[in-house]
Amino acid sequence: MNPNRRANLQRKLTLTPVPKPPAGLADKIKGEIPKHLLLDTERERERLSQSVAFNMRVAASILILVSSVYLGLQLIVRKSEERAPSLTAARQTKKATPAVSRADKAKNVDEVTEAQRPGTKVAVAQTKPTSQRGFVDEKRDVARREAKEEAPVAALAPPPPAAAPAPTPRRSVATEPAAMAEGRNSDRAVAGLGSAKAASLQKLAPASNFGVESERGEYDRMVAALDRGERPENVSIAAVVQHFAAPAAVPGNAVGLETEVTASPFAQRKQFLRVSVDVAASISDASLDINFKDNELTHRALTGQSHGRAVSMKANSSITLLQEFEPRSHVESSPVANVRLSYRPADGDRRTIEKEVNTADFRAWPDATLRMKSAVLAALLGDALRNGGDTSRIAAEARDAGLKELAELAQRAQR
Amino acid sequence: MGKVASFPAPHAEHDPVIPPWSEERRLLAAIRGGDRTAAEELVERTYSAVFASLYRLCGDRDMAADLTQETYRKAWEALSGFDGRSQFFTWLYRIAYTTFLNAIRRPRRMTSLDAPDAPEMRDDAPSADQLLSDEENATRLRAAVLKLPEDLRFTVTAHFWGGLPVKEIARIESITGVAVRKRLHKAFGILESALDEEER
Repeated sequence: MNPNRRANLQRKLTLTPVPKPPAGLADKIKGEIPKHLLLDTERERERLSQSVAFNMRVAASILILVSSVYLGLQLIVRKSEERAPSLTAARQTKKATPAVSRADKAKNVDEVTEAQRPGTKVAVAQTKPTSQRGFVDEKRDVARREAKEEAPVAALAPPPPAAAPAPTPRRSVATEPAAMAEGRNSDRAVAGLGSAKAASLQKLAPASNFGVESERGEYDRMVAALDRGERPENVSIAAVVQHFAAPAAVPGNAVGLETEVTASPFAQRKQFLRVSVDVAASISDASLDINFKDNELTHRALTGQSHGRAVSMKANSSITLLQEFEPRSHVESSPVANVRLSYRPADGDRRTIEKEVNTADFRAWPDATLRMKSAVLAALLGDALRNGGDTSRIAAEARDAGLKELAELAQRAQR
Repeated sequence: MGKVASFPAPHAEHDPVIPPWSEERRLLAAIRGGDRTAAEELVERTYSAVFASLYRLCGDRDMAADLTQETYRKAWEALSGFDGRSQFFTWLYRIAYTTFLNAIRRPRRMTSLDAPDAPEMRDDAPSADQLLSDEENATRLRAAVLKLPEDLRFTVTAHFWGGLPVKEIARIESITGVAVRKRLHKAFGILESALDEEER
């Protein structure tokens, strides 16, 4: 392009004459300045940030809510999956199960409510109707029904020795998935935790714990015999106690040692000492020593003698020892026994829990916890079945305490 | 590729009505803080330049005044979105240019020949022939510029009629200064050809 022509064109473009703006144009424009433009933007920003903060809080709440619901659903699904095998087994024997009437259900709901009060937790698992029961209860039902089915065979065959394990593969699959996963199918039982949480976890305890040895099948065989109207033989008191003395919930601590003393419901002079070890996380090299202060004190270990043998307990297992004794005196604040649990947790050094049992701790029978009542009445029922005795008063006492299953069992034993 | 010709900055580049950057920022901050006086000052300092740009684009005083008002209306609405990447006047010119394009795309209004301010009154009072000749030249040139492709048209009008420096156009168009100069060079070629054809 010719520079002159370009300069000329540039001049034309630049020097286009422009008239002055009309008078009042500036005022018109100024008059149209919107009010919202003149708002204090800092204030607006602050308001906006507050609004954003509020929205964030709402969003966070929603997130937490959704997460909680999701976790809850996950837990339910997991539970359902775990319950599936036992439910299948239960369905197979459904026809044999008498239907629970609405009235009974309502009554049992009341019992559950009652059982949820402090000190009455154990009863929950024992008194719920079939429809409301947890995994532990269903396990028991299934095992009992299986025992029923096996009963004719068992009747023909000689009774198995007390120490011999008698596992049945079917039972292991139905009730002990965790144990199967670990390749252990020992049939010796320590009472499992009664709660639904415990139900989803491992139940199988080591073959021997602190001298309390009981086969899982022993209790089922005893019930099967009663169902047939027969007097059971070789009843294991320990098995009956473990069945009924399970706690309602996993202990808050990894290892819980619980002691309780109560008078016998039938003989005021006699006292019962309950020592329960509830384990939420597995422990090993554990030993339990119960030493009565007065050597001349008459006492009897109903569930087996503690002998300080080192054992292991798996997570979510429980064991209850019951001692019957007659104190020489009821002097206030007089030491009676010393209970010492020594163990090694999975991830730490050896620990010891020690508890002293004092006469001041003695409770009258009505004041005993439901777990204690369950354990004592179960022990007395086992003793009566083993050595012969009246079970009707046990049934009456269990009924009074709201222990329906135990009451029915004692009633059947009486017949 | 020929070398890119340099274009001298038009007078408007140093026009005192366009506030310097620091002054502009102060005014904008004051407006955002709720200061009406600052908004009025900004109008006072920019409206004549906006009017001039629009007049050069449309060639009609009334229309330029209307479009100037409309430009500010739109600017106030969009002020919260002004990011300060370019100067305020550059941003304002972009709005004015878009407003003008929208206006000429609308059906044209009827202008009465009897309107009292129809003929432009000029202070220097040139002769009638001179006035007619200048007016014809300006109209021809405007028509040629408005026929340019959009990118070239914006660049030419922004630089010569809006008085925007090359670097400001580059900023608002998100291109380099060299690209702006290339556009101007290309636009001049087209304008030359168009004006030559009309003369023939």
